[in-house]
Amino acid sequence: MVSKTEITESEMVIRGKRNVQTIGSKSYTEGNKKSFTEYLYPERERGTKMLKLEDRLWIYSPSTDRTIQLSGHMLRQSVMGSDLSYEDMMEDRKLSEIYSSKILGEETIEGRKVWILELTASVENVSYYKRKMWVDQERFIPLQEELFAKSGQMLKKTVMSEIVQIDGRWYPKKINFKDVLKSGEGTDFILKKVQFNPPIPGYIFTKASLKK
Amino acid sequence: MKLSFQLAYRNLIGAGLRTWLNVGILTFTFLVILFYNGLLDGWNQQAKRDAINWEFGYGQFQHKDYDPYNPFTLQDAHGRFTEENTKGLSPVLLRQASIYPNGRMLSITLKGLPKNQKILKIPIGKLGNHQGAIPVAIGKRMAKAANLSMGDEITLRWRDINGTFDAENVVVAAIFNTTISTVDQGQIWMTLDDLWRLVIIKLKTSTLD
Repeated sequence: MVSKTEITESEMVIRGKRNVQTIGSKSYTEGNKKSFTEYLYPERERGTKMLKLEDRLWIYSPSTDRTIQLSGHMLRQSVMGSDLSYEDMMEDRKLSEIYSSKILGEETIEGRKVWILELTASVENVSYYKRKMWVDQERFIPLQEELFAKSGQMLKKTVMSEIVQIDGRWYPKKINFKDVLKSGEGTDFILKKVQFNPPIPGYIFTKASLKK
Repeated sequence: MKLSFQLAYRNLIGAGLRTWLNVGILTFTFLVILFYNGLLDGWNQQAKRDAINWEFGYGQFQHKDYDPYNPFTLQDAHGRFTEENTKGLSPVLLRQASIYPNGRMLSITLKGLPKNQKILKIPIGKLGNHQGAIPVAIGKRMAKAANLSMGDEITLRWRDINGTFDAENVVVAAIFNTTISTVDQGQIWMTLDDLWRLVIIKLKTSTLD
């Protein structure tokens, strides 16, 4: 699932109380520390760009022609009204580096045999103390994940579906993110196009590219 | 000099009703000016008194990294204090958190104040023991914005000092009415001991009143 660089085109379907909004974006990623996203539609969001370099995040808004760095409480805001917060996009370490895992059992999800893994934080500075993951035994891809607070309260749930093989990698075309403390059906992340290991020029991951 | 007064007197009497009209209008105007000056001064005095009672106390020491106008500083602006050096002062700890009233997410500032403090009017002393949920106090503006009333339980989500998410239920145990919106809007007050326990920052605060 992981590649050195990636260019993806995706849609985010955000279900609000009154309406459903679909936001299209194109993202450039290098490793898990650098990413650049440009929103393509709808008209209201077109031209909004987001740059993440390690633990810093900037957003450029074309209507104000301003770039702002997000930090503190602003990182806890949801991304475009979705169930994802900006800080959810900031975690960039390998799970094996920050969690110790154990297999809780086996299950079958939609005909696929899965292991149920329980990940418990092995270092102190992690966002979620505990994670429960349902991993496909053959394709080694997570199909479901639940994120827990230290108190044991479930905070978020992720369901991956429409698993397809692209360039030899199994990849979920649809991911549903649900903040379980919020009402609603969650946010769908739908993958439209993906390129693995394309060359991405270095200037893309600079603040200057936000205003281009 | 005497002549000037005589002339003035004669002019005033000679003008008859017009003089008394001028006197009446001037008197009314001055009364209105005095009334509004008094009203504005009263407002200022009230605002000062309320700010002292609800927000500043009689002065405030702030952590060197704390900037009230920059929420970016909240994460790291807390320091250790010794109780003997801060005698008579009341510590306040500020952290950021989210609440989920009626399935909506609201970003808030969590504020911790010692239960036995007497400097600020925030009704921290009224927060009793509630089984299973942490008692909190909120202002009436916050209660209206989040559609909360006394006894309501809501989920509070925050990050501890290491950045790890934690969540617990809090119960609205006091709603206070204040003219100072800066201690009300977007804020939840709890005892300092409860907040220390939540974020694992023992004997650390952002400001001292």
